[in-house]
Amino acid sequence: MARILGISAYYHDSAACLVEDGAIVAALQEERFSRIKHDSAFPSRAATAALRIGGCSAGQLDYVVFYEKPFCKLERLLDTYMLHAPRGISSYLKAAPVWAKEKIWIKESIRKALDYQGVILFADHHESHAASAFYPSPFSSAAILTVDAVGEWTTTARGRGEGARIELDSEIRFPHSLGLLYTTFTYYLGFEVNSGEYKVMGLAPYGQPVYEKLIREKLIDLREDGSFRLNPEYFGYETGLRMASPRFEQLFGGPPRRPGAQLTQKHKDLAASIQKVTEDAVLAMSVDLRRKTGEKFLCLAGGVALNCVANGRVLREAGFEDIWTQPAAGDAGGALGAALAVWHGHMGKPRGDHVSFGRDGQGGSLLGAGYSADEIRACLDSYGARYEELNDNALLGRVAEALAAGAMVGWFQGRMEFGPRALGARSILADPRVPEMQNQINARVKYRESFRPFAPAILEERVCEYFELDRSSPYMLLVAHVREPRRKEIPAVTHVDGSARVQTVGKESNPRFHALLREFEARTGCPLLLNTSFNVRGEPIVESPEQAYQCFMRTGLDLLALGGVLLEKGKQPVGLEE
Amino acid sequence: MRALKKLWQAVRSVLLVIGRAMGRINAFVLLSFSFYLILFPLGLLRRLFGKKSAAAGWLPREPLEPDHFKKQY
Repeated sequence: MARILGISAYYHDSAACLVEDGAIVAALQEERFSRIKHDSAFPSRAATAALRIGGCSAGQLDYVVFYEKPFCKLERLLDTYMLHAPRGISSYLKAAPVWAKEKIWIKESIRKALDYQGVILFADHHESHAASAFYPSPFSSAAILTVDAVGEWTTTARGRGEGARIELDSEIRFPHSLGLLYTTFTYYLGFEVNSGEYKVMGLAPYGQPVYEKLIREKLIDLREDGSFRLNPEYFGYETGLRMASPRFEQLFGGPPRRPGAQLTQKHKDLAASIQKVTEDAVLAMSVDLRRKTGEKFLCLAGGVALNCVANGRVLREAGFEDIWTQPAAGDAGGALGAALAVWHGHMGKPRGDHVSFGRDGQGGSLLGAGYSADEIRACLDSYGARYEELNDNALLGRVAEALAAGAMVGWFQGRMEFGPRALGARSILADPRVPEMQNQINARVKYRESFRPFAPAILEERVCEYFELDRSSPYMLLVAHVREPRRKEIPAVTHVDGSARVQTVGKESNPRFHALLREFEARTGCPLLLNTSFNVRGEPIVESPEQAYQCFMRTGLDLLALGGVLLEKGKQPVGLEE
Repeated sequence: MRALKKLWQAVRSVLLVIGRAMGRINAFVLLSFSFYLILFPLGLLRRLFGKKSAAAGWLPREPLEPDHFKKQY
């Protein structure tokens, strides 16, 4: 048996992934353990958990692979400083010590953190993304498009995969980056860089793309084949500590919005404009790639592929029969891609059986740690929590009943999700038919911005009845329109423009969540639930029963289903809220 | 003995603060030197000999060597 551990770290969303004989055994993000959102530190805890899930030690690994080539990245940084010196000194003074202390010692960090003496390999950043998109996909051959901020030099890469072979034949290079363009607007709109991009996407439907023309005229020269050139005069990321240059601020009439300040119509219009430009760019790239490769299917990865509105347009308009997006499309997925790239690319092994069955190899992306009934009980007992242990039918019935009565439920079941979306393993669930539910969850549980929509999780077999979508979307990576007559029926998950970020739940991929949806449907006639991540604003999704219980007690959740255990808020001992 | 220990701890913490400050100053001076005396002149030379900003648009991507996984570059 060959075991490969993939590692991504030192930029954002560090992660570890264990692959055994080509099968993804475990994949986990460090932030879930460290409780630091988008944690970039070396993923020691995630790697330890991956090895524990795989039942092996570091000494039993055949390879450890890092998801990018650090010296190429350093070359890009030095090259950029040289090109712009004497500008860039402040950025250099900040970056150089980190590189000297940490980032050029990847091998040493891996050996020390894992106590590992074996072979350490290095994949290329976009090769890792491409591998994470193509190898777990259900397609035997497909076009591949990876779009992110920046890897070593590459910001966008394209090519095709066939069998176990991936060939990326063209690329767009730094500083021309669609990801960095979007991130610059994220910064300008007062959201956190490398974190708040999905907030820009959620804000966009409230505005009109009135700045689209200006963006295309001044910031980005977008060509018909999807390639583009950014005007560096408007950006600060090459040499400065800020994403936008003073000229950018001048162009849009003022300084960036302060975090937390009121959102004006101008902010909404800016979000709509950059969203439109991004969608058009990704769509143009996809159309050109289809023409060039003649492939029927498309695989997507890279941080920009988390833009599910753009993915929806690609699916509808690019002419591919189907698309598959890596659920952890950002840098976390690089760990998974690097490990698979070694198995197929370095070791020359063929693809797994999943392709012949037309299924993906991502396992519902439920690749994190799970907890036994004993572990859950021990945790709750340590808090003196009051709970009931129920059989499956009773638990599902009670939860469905409570949801139908308007309760907000913490749902902690099985192995944790890999990727940014809660897919029914670490979720907060509620009734999507209640118009005030969005406000209630924001006010009592999530404490997040009111403009951000909540997603629906629907029985896979019923998706066409509610959404303009004719296929499954198990990873919540496609946005589709809610059918007009249904919009009033499910207001809590219908965004202001009538769209929804759909998750379809299959009986095979997540049987327990599927069964809960069936129970809810039996009581209400509605085959979907509001599904949002089990966390509060600014925190990563809960990973362990302890974190789930703490979140349950600190927020306005009414019920918590932890495996086969049910807890009601009203029955918990007083004084455990903090 | 206890008083001596306390005195040593106080001296030690003062020395640590001074050490850290000196470390920061050293790093600042050395890095500034490396930036202005190495990177800047090299950059000027490269610009003189025609090195410009990176090309835009789709560029051919060089195929990775079969054993590239073994390299950090």
